[in-house]
Formats: sequence, C-alpha cells, structure tokens
Amino acid sequence: MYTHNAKISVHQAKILLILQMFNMSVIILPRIAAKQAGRDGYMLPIVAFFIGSIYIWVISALMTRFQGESIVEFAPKIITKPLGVLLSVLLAIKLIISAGLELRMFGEMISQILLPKTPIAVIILVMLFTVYYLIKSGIEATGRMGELIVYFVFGPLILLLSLVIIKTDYKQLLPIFQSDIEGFARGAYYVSMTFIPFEFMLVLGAMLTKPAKMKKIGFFAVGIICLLEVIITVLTFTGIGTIECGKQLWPVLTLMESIQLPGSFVENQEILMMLWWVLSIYMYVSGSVYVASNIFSRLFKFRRENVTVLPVLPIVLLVAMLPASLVDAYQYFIKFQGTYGIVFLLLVPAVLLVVAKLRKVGGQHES
Amino acid sequence: MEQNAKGTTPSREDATHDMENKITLPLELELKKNIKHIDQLFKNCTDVVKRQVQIGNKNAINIYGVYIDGMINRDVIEDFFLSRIIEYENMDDSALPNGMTLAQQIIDRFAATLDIKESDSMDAIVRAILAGSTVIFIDQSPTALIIGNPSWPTRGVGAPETEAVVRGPRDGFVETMRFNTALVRRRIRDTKLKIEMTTMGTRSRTDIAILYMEDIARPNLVASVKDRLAKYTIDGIFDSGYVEQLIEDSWKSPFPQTQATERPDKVASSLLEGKVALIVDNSPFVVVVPGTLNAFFQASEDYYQRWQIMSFTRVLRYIISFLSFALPGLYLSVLNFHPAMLPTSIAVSIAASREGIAFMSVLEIIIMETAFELLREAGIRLPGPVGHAIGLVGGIVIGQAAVDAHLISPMVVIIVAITALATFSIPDYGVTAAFRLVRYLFIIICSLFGLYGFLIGLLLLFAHLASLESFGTPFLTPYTASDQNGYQDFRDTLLRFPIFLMSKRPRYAMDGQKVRIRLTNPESGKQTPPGPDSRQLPGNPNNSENQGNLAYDNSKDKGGNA
Repeated sequence: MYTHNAKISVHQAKILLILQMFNMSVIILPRIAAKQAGRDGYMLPIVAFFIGSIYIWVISALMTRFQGESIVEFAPKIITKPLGVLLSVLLAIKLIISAGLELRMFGEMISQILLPKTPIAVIILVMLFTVYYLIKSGIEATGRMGELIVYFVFGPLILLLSLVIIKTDYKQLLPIFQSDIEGFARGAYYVSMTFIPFEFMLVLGAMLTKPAKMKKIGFFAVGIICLLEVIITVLTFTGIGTIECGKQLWPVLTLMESIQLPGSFVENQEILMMLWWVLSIYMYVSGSVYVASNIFSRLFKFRRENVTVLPVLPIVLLVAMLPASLVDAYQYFIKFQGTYGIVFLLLVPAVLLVVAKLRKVGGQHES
Repeated sequence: MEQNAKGTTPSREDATHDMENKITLPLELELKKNIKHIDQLFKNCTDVVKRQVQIGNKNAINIYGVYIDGMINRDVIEDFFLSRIIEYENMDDSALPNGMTLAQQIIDRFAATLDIKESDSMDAIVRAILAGSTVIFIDQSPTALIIGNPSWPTRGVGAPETEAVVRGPRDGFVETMRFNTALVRRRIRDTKLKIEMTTMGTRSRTDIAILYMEDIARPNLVASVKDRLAKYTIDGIFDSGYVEQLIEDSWKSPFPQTQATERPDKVASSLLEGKVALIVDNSPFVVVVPGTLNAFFQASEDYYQRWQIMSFTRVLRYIISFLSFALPGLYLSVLNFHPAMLPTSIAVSIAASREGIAFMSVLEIIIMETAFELLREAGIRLPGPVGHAIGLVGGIVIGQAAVDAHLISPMVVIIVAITALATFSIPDYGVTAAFRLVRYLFIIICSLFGLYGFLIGLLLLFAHLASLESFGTPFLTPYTASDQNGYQDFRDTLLRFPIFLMSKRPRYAMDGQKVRIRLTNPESGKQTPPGPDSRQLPGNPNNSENQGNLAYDNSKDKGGNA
C-alpha cells in the first residue's frame, strides 16, 4: 500500500556482501588453498585481498562515475546501445547460471544429510519459492534480511570456531613458505574469486543511499572476508589436516562435524552445523536472482521492479537440474566461476571505465 | 464499507443530508423554522428533550433548548443557565451595550459556565447535541448557543486488564476519550504535547484524538497519520481496532503494525520517543505508531525495575516467543525425520510413549493445538469463575483422559502445554495472535520437510518481517537499519540497558531532539536547560562542545529508511 523507497544503506550493503562472499569462501576454501599452496594455503587470502582491491577500485570508479545508474543504464552510453544491452543480458545470464549451480549443490547437500527420499527438484523449488518471497519485496527487504541473518550466521560460527581454536595443533602449519610461486599465484587468484558477489554492485550500486561510499563498502567486506578466510583455513588445516582438506569437497563442513559441543544434548550435530551455511547460500542465491531479474526489469523499463522475478525462477531451476550429480555441479561451478568470474569482476568494468574516460562519458562530463 | 473512490459513501444524499452525511439545512433567524428543522431531524428520537421557553417580562424573547436525555449534566443547564436567564426582565435589543448581539449578551451575563460558544452551522449544532451538549436556539439570532455539559454513564479508571504489572501505575485507559487524554496529560505537563481532534464515521461521528509532541515527533509522521485517517470514509468506528486496521501499511500480514495499549504510562513514554498516539472515543485501547516488533516485546514494567532482571526477562521473552511458534514444528521434524539427533535414551522414551497411538504425530499435534484454541476461546467467552473451571477441565481432565485412551501421547501434551504457556508470556496480544497463526505454518511445513522445512519456515518468517514497514519505519527496527541512530537503539532491545545509558531517543524522534537525559557538570554546576538541544542541530559550530559521554553524532541519523 505504502511503497518502499528502493534504496539500500551502506551498512546493509556491507553485510549483504559479507554474507554472500562468506558462502563462496565456504565452498571454495580451504580445498583450493590446500590443493594450490599446501600448508601455505592460509596465506592465500592475504594476497587475494590485494587482487580484490583491484576489482573494488575498478568497479567503484565506474559506479562513482555513473552515480545512481546501473550497468543497464551506463553501458549503452559508453559502448553503444546494442553492446550495452548485450553486456547487461550476459551479466544476467551469468548470475542465473551461478545461482542455478549453487542451488544444485545446495539441493544435493540437503538431500544427502536431511531429506534422502525427497526429489532434489522439490528441495530446490521450495528454496526458490523462499527466495522469491524475499526478493519480490524489493531491495530493502533483502537488505534488512541480511542485517537479521548476519547474527544467525556469524553468532554460531564464532562460537564453534572458538571451540576449535582452543584444541587445535598449530604445529601442522609448519614449515612455512614451502609452496611454489606459480601454485601460490594461481591459488590467490582462485581465492580472489570468493569476492565475485562484488559484481552485484554493478546493479546494486545504483540503489545505494551513499554511492560515493562504494569503495569503503568493498574494502570493508573484502577485508572482513579475508580475515575470516585466514582463520577458517588455519583452523581447517590444523583441525583435519592439509592433505585431507585437498580431498574433501567441503572441508569446513567436515571440520564442523568433528566438533564436540561440551555437554551437548543433540547428536548428529552436522545437521545443525549446516544450517548457518544454508542461510548464507540463501542470501547469495537471493542476491543473484534479484540482480538478474532487476537487470531485465531495467532493460524493459518496467515500473514495478519485481515483475521479472517470477519468470527468472524457472530458468534457474532448469540450470540447477542440468548437472548429473553433486560432483558435476561442484566442478561446473568452480570452472564457470574460475573462467567467467573475472569477466564482470574486472574485465568488463575495466574496459567500460577506460572507454568512458576516453569518450569522456559520465562523471563531470555528464550534464 | 465503501469508499469515496468508488463514487459512493456509507451515506445517501437526501433533503437534509449530503453525501458525507453532513446536515445541509441552514440555521434560520426565525425560531419556528429552526424548531421545524430540529423536529424533522430528530423525528422519532424519543431520547431528545426539546422545550421552548420565554425569557424576559418586557420585550420577551423565545428560546428553544435541545439536548439528549442521559448524555448531559442537567444541573449545569438548569442551575447555572436557565434559572438565571428566565428571571431577567428586559431582553430588549436597545439595552445591549456597544452593539452586542443577544447571544453574546446571554453568554456574558447569564451563563455561569465557561464551556459555552456560538455556532451558525446547523451541522455543527446537531453534532454538538449528539455529542452530549445542550443547544439553545434564540429567536431572531443568527447564531445558536452550544453549552458543553456532557455527562454519560462511564466506567471508572481501573487497572489495565491485558497489561498488568507488579510494579508500576495501576490506572488504565477507559472508554471515555476525555478521561484518556487527561490520563496522558497528567503525565506530560508540557504545552508541546499537542492533542488534535478529528472525527471518523459519517454516522458514528467518532472522535479521534491525535497526540504527539510537537518538537519530538517528525512532522511527516504526524502528517502521514492524518492523511491516512482522512483517506477513508466509513459509516462507523466502534473501537480503535477499526482505525488500526485502516491505517496500517500491510493488510496481508498477520502481524500488527501499530501498537495497542491500555496503559497511559506506555503512551506517554512513546510520545516522548517521537511516536504518535491515537485515542479513539469508546475504546480503552490507544493506538501508537509506528509499531515495531521490538516495541511489542517491551513492557512498561521493564523500565521500573532493575535493568539486570528486566534484561533477563527480555531474553526469556524472545526465547519463549520462538518456542511459541516453533516448538511443535521442531518436535515433528526431529520425531519424523531426524530421530537420530536425539540421544538414544530420549528417543527410546518418546518411542515408548507413542506406542499404541492411533494418530500420526502431525495429526496429534493439530488435534491438541485445536483443542487448546477451543479451550482458550471457551475460557474467554464464559464468565470468570466458569472460565477457570473450563481451563482446569480441559487441561487436566481431557488431557489425561486422552493420554489414557491412547489418543495422544504424553509428549504431545507437554509440547502443547509449553507452547501455550509461551504464547501468553509475550506482552502484546496482537503479536501473540500472529505467532499462534504462524505456528500452524511451521507444523505443516515441518511435517512435510522436517528440519529443512523448519529452516524454510524461518526464512519465510524473516523475509516477511523484513518486508514490513510501519509508517516509514522498518518493522524490525532496530535489528535492521540499526546504523540509522548510531546503534543507540540497541540499548533497549534484547537487553535493557541501565536507564542512564539510554540517553538518546530512538530513530523516530526528530533530528536535534535526540538527547533525553543530560548530565549536570559537577565543576560548574551548570545544567543544560530542557527543550531542543541546540548544540545537536546541524550546522551549529558548538555541536560537540560540553556533550561529554552523551555526545551524539548527528550525521549518523541520515539516509532514509533503507
């Protein structure tokens, strides 16, 4: 009845990015870190931070140049309308594929641990409905949801990690600096892919109450995530061993399963352990689907931004059902994000920024 | 109920009324014509007392008094008006000093009451009669006199029935609006407490008082309340519940987005936080806006007792509110989908208690929950002592009998009993009702998907709450949009901080009016005077001067309601 203002605060943007990046971290790390850099894997997030800084700088510079506009509005101005529209559509497709693969992995996990008899399509559909219910209410609801969920994700995580910190054997990290440079660099690049959700800013940046603070948002989110990644990697390496980390699909979950809560009433606690991860996945999928649908509604200039949410969902479901198994979905996801993640995180924003500067579009040239 | 927008109203236009049910008849100079109008309007209204009286001996003048029996104080009209005027000898116009009208002369010389005024509108006159005033028509006068002497049967101020406290004031609102405004005024003796009046209901003409602190409530909030009240044309308003539902943001939500309270102290403190209160005549429940989830977990008593114990109580309230909607669903999830989560001894014990039970566990829960709702409804409708008996009979006798007959398991009785206790431990009845409804959603979704369903239910609930707003304020404030007031609002949430630490008003308050507690400087003995804190106003170079540990960064208070 009384409409919302379609804005997101700096605080909310920081939290959303942290939750979404955290989900990526749990998926990618520490397996990749162990595979690429062995015992030195825990140092990868520190190097990844500097790589991430480039992404933040480029996207922030672009978005600050076109304040209040998303890629759908400024890309046609910079590289002609047909190319601009094509870029926007490609970003939407990329986000839909990411969300679909993520959902498939999520569905497989739920199926294995919680609902072995329920068809995966049903599990994914139920989740998609929940995603729809949130994002149909617009970006404010998503922002507030992030502010609420952050307590439920990081509260239990801090509690669990503090239990591990006490018991862990840090000698397992020694000796240091044993990995080769090439593997280390490749590993740092892969770890920097955990910052992929920052590409949402190409659209969400237009909805910020203070667009000039995007750089600050980016550095805060990436900084927090890097710190968390270092802690998680160290604890997982020392908790279950570096070699085991390289073998496990999600070593973080294995670590969580190994924790014994003092005086615990509950058995089979891995069920509870994965609940916080589900919340993080939910925020990532919601973000992807919201941004993708928002791109379409902006392209078609719909007055109501949420009319495109429902049509996007069947496509996400279709993508989710394509992989044959959990391992397939995981491989596709890693390959897809590893190959195309950089496109909208760095390449496209950098090209757009350079062309905009050369053609003197945006910024003070905008009248 | 039909709206203006559709071209019709709850009233029909006729010879004496317009579409808004306002009286179109004019006030005539000739008394006979006015008497005819009044007779026409009050035809078959036997409760209306009408009488023509001649006053003065020389140049006598006819007056005509009208009031509704039972709604006025007859002593005022008979002893302090009629008895004085009727004996006056000369009512000649020539005797009037300085061109004074006859009506003014009567007011000045004969009316021994302050509450008397003139009116030249027949609509206003008739509304005054219906509201409990006495109207005196004077022959050849362009105005009539309205004497405010309402007096009708009322309930005395008593303890609030739904918000009882161990420590704190015992007076609660009643059905008479003026008593209620007085109860608030007694607590805020400040000229900046504004009480604006409006009426709603073309037939009920219900008075609604809009209360706000002029310098604390945001003007756009006050304007928004007035706009939403003016939006509807309705035939009758019989309780504040009507108003509440008409002005709320989302009609689809089971959660109330305005706060209803019987406690004057709660309303007074809300007004000092920058909220707006609506007192509706004939309703003991006052509506306070904006309503947030956090406010529904706050009880008046929280601020009257020590902060440690009340913080503990707050945490308890949040836990039990979670249990009130989640416990049956969690039980079903663990029992049907993940029994391995339970320690073996407990799992065996539950399995043994379910032996021989004919119903599925989900049916058991639904039957027991429905039975409980039945008992609750019966307990409310029946007179007090009988209601208690119903509770005992239902809870103990039927519960025990059902367990003995192997219709339900003892565990289900325990689950439903804990849920019921939890439901009624939440201070606000509106939220309690919403949680009762949400509980069924959890029962259904958990019976289908187990713990995954439970998580989905939680996400749906959170997503729903996150989408709600109340008059521009997010419903989950201050858990969301927490940065808007420099995180100060967290001091009155899950934990209730010591009073002296809650020195800032919440985000609803106007900028520049955030400080509510000040410190006296022990060295200079100086204390900042009450009123707007000029040092906080943006652009003032002395912003941070002398603020000590109460300094407030006003820049944090910007940025819309994201």
